[in-house]
Amino acid sequence: MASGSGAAAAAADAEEKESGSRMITLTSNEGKAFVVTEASARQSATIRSMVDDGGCVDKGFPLPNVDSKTLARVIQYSDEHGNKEPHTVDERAALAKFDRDFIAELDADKAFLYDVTMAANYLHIQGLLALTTQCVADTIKGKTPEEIRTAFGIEYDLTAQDEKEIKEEDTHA
Amino acid sequence: MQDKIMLWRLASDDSSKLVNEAFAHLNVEGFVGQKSIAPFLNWPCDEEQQICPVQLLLLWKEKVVAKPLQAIGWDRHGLLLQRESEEFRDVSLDLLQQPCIHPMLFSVSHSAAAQRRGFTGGESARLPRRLLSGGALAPASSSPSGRLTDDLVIEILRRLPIRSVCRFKCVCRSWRNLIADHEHRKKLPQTLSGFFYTTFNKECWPSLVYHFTNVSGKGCNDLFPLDSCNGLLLFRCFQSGPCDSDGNAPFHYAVCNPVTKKWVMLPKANWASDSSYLEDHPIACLGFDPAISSHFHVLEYLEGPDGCITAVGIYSSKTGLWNLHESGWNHGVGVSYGGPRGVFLNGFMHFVAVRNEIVAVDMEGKRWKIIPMPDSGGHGAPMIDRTQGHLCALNVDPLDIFNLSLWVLEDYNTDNWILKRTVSTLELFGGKKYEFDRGYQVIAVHPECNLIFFHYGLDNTLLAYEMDPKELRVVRNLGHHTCQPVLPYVPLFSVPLAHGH
Repeated sequence: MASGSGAAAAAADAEEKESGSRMITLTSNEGKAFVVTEASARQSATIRSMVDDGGCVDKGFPLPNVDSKTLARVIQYSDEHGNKEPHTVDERAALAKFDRDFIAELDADKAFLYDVTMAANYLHIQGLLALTTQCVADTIKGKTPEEIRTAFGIEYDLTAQDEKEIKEEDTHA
Repeated sequence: MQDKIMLWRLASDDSSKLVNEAFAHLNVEGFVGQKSIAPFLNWPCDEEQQICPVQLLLLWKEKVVAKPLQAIGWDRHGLLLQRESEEFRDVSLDLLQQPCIHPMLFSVSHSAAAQRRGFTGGESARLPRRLLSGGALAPASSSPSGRLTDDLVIEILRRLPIRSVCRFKCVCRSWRNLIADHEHRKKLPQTLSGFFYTTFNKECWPSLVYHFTNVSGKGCNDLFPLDSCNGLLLFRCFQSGPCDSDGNAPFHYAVCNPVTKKWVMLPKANWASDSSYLEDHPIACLGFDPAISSHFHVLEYLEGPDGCITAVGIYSSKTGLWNLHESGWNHGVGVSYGGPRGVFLNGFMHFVAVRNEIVAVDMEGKRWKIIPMPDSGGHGAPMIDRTQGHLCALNVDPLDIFNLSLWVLEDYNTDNWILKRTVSTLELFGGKKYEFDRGYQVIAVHPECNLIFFHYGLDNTLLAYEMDPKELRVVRNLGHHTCQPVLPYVPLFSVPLAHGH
């Protein structure tokens, strides 16, 4: 994974000619450019569909909804999953371990976890989305509605009528 | 105008002409994948107006910036657009110099709110129209929820157990609507959770038994009834987890009123369950009398290395706490395993000890009593119960072990047992020489009538014996694999199960 500089882009061009794989530039909302392999970028269904549509690869993809810190972390994931396809049992185990470590690190910083989750959703990276939403789900599983509201800053807007309906639904279920 | 997108409407399927001028200027929200959402802004429609299949075209910086889009409905955030097909339609518009096909991700300065809200890939086209009244953009918010879009919430909810999902209906209206939505329901947890199956055994009742096992094999399947007292049942619930050094699985106690289906889980006792001397789990009893209090007590008898009770742990549902009381009986008291239950009477828990005596302790652990029993010649521990408000005991005549005696302690403050009845078990069991506590067990004495319940024989036949007209009735076969205890149950309808302060 190279980032930013024109030198990196040039190196990527050279690599492209050698290996036949293209390099793609993703730009964060802070204007920072990240050059990734096409295989890595194709982890994102959003970018994949645009690449397959046949345009804009040279111009790169500005990602106005992702900041540099988040994008770097997302690319860390998609590099690992896109660039090396696991063939052996050991490789699959290594990838699973990568996922575990990756999510354990994110789990420690909930705000960042939400950022990466949002980015995974926006870029349609299914594996990453599953990983991060599962982590969020595990976090909130045992919580009460009140704790959920506090955690996510949600305002309580149910009326007494709503509550009554919910209670009825639950008794009929 | 750089950060605005203009939304144009095309005349019809013939998309070569624009009928009206741009009627909406939109903040760039991003157009991702096949479906996108544009914020609702001055969209000229009333409640009844059909939106579909109006063709729309997005212009930005005087270029067509996306393939023709179709409005397919409304979302709470605004107009939901769908890119119609992969095939780009050549739009001949004078003001378009270079129609560019692809750039759906825009490099423009966004409003903070748009960034925070992130992108919403559609899926939620069928959300009800009333959401429209909510207006345009969700207010900017720095809380995480402001950034969790509906489809992300769904992604998270579908990974939760159904119980959590049901609970989260009460989070807020938006979550409630998401969970209630039929399209979303499909995504919510509906995985295989277990199997129903039936077992058949004609020797016991019911011969057809329906069971359910969950896929994980976990859960509170190991639930053992220990005691019953005036409508409540005491259970030992085994948990999954590592066993202690003696191979005993971890467990906790639970009390249930089957009428109200209310369960109370008891907290762990605060003493280390030093079971190193025990061959089995400690004996536990339930003390409850709705006439006195809606609170209950659970007693756990702790044994020392010599097999004598060293202390009694007493749990009070009023305080929600366990208290350990050192034994106050004036001599060593040993408990007999597999023996009869405790009997709760007059605020005391009574228990049969090995030396043909009944030991009792009150629920504060302050008063300790020993009540000697009439001699039975060492033929089995007596069975105690309560009938017509008195403590009663059944044992055998030391001179004739096939003679069963029913004793009643009418004056609780004395040790004067009164012999009420004797029964020849030879008569009861058709001349068969079943011995007390071996060939047959007395389960209970009826709390009001002179009625005794036994079970005997290979099939554990349950019998009811009426003492006054001397009538014997077979209730039914319980089956050869019946385990102790068989607990008498008096339903409790009146009092709710009180717990805590």
